[in-house]
Amino acid sequence: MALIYLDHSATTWPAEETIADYARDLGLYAANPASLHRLGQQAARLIRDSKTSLAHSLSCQPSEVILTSGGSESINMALKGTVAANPKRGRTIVTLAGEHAATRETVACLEKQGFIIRKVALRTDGQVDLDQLAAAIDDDTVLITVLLVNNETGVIQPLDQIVAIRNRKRPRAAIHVDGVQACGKIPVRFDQLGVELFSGSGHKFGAPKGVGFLLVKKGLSIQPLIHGGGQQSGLRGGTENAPLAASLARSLARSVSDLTRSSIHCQNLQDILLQELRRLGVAFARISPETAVPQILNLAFLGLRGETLQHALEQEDLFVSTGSACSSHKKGPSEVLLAMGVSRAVADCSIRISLSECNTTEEMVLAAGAIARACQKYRR
Amino acid sequence: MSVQSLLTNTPLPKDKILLVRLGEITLKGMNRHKFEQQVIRNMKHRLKDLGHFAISQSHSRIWVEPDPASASGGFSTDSQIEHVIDRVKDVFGVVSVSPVWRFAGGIEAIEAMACEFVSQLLSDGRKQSFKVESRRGLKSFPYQSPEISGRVGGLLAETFSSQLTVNVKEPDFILYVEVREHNYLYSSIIKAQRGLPVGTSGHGLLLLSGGIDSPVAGYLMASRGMMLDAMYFHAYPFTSDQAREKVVDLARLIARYAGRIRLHVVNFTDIQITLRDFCPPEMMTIVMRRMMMRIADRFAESNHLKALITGESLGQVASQTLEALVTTDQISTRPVFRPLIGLDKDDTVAIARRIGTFETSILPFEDCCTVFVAKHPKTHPSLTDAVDAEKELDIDALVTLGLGAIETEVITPRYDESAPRGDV
Repeated sequence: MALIYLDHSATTWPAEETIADYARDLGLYAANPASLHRLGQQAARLIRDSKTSLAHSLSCQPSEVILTSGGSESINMALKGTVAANPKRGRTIVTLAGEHAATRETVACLEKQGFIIRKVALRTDGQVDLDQLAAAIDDDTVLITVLLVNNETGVIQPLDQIVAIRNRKRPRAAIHVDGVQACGKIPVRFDQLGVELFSGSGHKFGAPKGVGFLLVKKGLSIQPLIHGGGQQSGLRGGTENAPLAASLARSLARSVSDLTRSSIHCQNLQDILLQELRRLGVAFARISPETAVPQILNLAFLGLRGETLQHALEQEDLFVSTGSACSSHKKGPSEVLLAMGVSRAVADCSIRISLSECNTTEEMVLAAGAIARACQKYRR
Repeated sequence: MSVQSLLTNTPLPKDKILLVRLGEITLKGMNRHKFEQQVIRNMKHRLKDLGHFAISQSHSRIWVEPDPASASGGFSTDSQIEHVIDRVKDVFGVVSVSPVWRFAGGIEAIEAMACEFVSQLLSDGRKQSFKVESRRGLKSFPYQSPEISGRVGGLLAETFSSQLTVNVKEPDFILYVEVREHNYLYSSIIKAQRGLPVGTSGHGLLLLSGGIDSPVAGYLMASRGMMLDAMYFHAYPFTSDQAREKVVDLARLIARYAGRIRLHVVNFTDIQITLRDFCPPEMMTIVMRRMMMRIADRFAESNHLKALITGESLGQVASQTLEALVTTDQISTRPVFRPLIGLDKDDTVAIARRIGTFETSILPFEDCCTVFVAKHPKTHPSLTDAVDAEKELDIDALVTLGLGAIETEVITPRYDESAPRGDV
């Protein structure tokens, strides 16, 4: 069996075209974009063009795009930078249960600095409890942060309603969207979301690792995390990487234009996989609701620990993950699943299958077979 | 020649070398030579990648210096000597080490050298108290020990009167002066691991898991001179390859002290599946441990390993009650050493921290003992319970299966500094 990669939400495999373009740019645009000479200015132009392209893909202004090293940096900057720049707006940060570790750890850090953190519970379908959200927001709320597409379950948060509640209860509070898993999976129009901050990460949609972006709505003041030579309007010091910026912009443009086709394809793959599992008589519990993005499918095979299943499948060159790869070095069942009210026993037996347009229907049939064999051999 | 003028001159000629003291070995009577030679062999082995060293021996002391054929004047930098000290103090049998100045000459040379030595100790400008202790091994030297101490101490107190005061009861430092075939000066005595040199107490097989206890058990047996092989039971995919890597890492950390270790990794997956399917869940852990014991014992037999070593501690978990230990002990045809048997967990953790295995041991990867653990394991099994629990198993076939699926890896010490350690 050829290698089957079903872990695209951990990271995507860059397309050959992406690698070739990036390699070419590394040689062509090696000059420092801050240099005043012609070579530097060529690199600076590539960055400007990339920001324009990103702005086009995300429906925002190029001046609202800050290039970062990836999702974690963007989230750190969004949260720490906003509360630092707006001390008079309040000291309370509202967050959801089951956020990604980048948000969880950043708000924990802010809590140590004296900020008040309110964590709003999820319902069993993985969406935020809106009544509790409304109750959590008050006149002291400076920031609300929302994981738009959950990385472990694919659940999409009702952002429209969250924005409406904020507008009603505390218009002065900013909303940050962790959109790392949303880009390329659902349409994102920053100008229509009604939020002030949006984080994204290149390697989740085909770009290399080490590049991402933060969108900051015009008018919101924010402090930089990294001070330096005044790059990116003084908001993010450090020499800009023109080839990476270009790769980020191209990959996003491609995944946005492929979005509808890719979603239909992944939904189809998911249906085939589930159908095959049922046909083979493999019992499982579906944790991702039907309304989740089709690219992410969280399933539990009771009696078989997720980690064991993952390793068993790996022996057959089939790669999936347990929960989030970003926190898999921490022991214990997924906090996201527990936050949705999934029992420990079930959470312990869950795996995340994450699909992309690169996967095929044949792969789904083979994957179901491999899962069935692993269940038969290792399940208790 | 005045001392002040000496101090402003260029440094006096001397060799910076290392004095290594041996402990318990010196009590070994007729066998002493054998033990000393083993320490020297172990030290040479441990220093191999740091350069060429001359290691010589006189009385119960060992001297280490860079090979005079390739370097003269002893160690050239402090960091070079620190690296060597770091290695040598982990060789079992060594009690302490001291960086030493060796030089020739009479009482004037000793006085001048003492001034240079102390001026370096005082270079931070801090006020300190001191005393001088002298030993005269060379009986033809015209001054007796108290006279040497008196002359050198008096001169130092006078020369560095703004910083130094004499305190014979609790000095900040002691300057040791030894007069033998050469003269020696030193002030620091760094404690080492003690124990007996590895290779003088036979060869045992350590049952190594990824936990806190078994690496400590291995360390303790090696400290009594036992050479180690180690056996790890790997149950992929129930346990991940990270768990195996963790065990390899632990073996490398133990090898710092125990020297080279052969690590035998048994593929335990199919055996574990069989046990899961055919044993009562509450007896699963006991039966699994008995299987491990059988495989280890048979392996030890054919590889001339004379003892098994485990990290068990009485009552620590359900499988380590006296009754449970009886059921596993009965399996082995050779002694099973359990050096932690009477230790409190806190004491084991303290040793693990000191020897640098703790941080690796607590990495969160499952080992095969924690997979399939019953909610209520039997804590006081009788031998009959154990035998009954195994009645549906073809024991010989399973042992053969285990022995036929062993990968051996030779583990060499890990010296990188990512594993924090404590002082001896």
